[in-house]
Amino acid sequence: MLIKIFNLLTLQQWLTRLFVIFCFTTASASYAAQTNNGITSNASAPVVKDAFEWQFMVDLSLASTQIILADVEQTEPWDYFQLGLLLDISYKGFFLQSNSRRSLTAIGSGELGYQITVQENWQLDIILKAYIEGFDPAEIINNQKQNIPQLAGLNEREYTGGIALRYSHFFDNAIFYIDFANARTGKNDQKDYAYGLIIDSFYSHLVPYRNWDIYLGAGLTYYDQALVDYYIGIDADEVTINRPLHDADSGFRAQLEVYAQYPLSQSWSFNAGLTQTFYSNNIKQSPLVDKNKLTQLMIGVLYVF
Amino acid sequence: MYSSVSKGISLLVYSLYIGFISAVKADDNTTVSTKVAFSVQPQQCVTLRQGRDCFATITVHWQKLTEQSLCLYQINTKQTASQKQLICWPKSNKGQASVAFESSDNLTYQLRTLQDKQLVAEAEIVVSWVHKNTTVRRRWRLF
Repeated sequence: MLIKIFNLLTLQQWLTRLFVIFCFTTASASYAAQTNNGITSNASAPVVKDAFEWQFMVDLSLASTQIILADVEQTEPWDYFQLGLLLDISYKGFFLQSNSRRSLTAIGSGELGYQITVQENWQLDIILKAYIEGFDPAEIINNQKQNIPQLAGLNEREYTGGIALRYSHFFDNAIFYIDFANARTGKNDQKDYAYGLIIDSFYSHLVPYRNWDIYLGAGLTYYDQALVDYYIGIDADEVTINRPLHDADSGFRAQLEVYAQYPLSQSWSFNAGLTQTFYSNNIKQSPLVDKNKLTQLMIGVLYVF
Repeated sequence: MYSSVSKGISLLVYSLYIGFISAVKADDNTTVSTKVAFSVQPQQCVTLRQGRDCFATITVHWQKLTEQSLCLYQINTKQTASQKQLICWPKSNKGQASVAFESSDNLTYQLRTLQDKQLVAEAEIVVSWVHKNTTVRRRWRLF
């Protein structure tokens, strides 16, 4: 319902930026690889970057989801169904990866990136991804059974894309990563771009139990004031009797999740997950928001080609 | 009515006969010529990722026309010395067992005679996987 199609023009601009950065990083990475050829016995020497590999998956799931916007609920049966087309591909350090542990969208969860350096226990990547989904208030109201005066006539909010430096640290059965992203919202007719910092961190621990994979995860994300204000702030031209002027402050999001996967056959696996999200209390001061604790539950099947 | 019953019995006898023939044919390397029906279910164990141990409970069933003392062995063909005797049935014409399967490799189950360990029948459990073991180290989350 809230899924936005990328603004292709904006995406193209981001891709151009990424390409330029890739050119620089590829050159330096190549040099680094050459200089390290002579010290392969060194335990800290880089390990090989991802070779050409790909995997295509289709995910079909039932999901009970919540969003922070006031009075917005899943109303129709098809609101609970999610179809994800997930493509993972890597070549010489470049990668496009979908999130096969989530079923929201192929685009919304995709990451385009390049491995700057790959070490035994850690890795540094440059990432291009959509960090925040947008929403179209008119479309939301259309899909709801009741009128939502707080959203009526509100300007559309576009998605936020970001280019990030990602540090990942690998443990035996766990991974921790942190993104430092320079993020920019999309531009609509009424609002200008908003720029800001996003710091997104996540820890995921794999607990194998017989044929099950159980992932226990926790994450903490910081959103710059300008970005939060873009989504839940109320501009002067948006003020109504139900929607007073509001300047939003910066915000945090904490997440806890459990995800489990079980093989059904060589091509099918069963998956289920529960995510509990906590946003900082101040977001409830916005007239657009009525909750800062969200519970999301999904159950589905994944087909691997 | 009798015609239908006799047709049914004929079909059943024929099916059993074909079943026995198939069982014998499937064991071309059987060194004991006596007919034995030997089944192992399931025949495949699926794990999420290549290289991971696969877990299953295997039901082994065998039946013979004549009594014989037989033993069930588990063999990992990738490890030449890995041959484990699981259970023996002294002087019996049938047997059934549930076996805990835990392996990342295919395993072969063999029925051998108790005294001279001659091969009577065998079947293989194939380990397969959903995801290939790649070099890519992913970091996923749900929402």
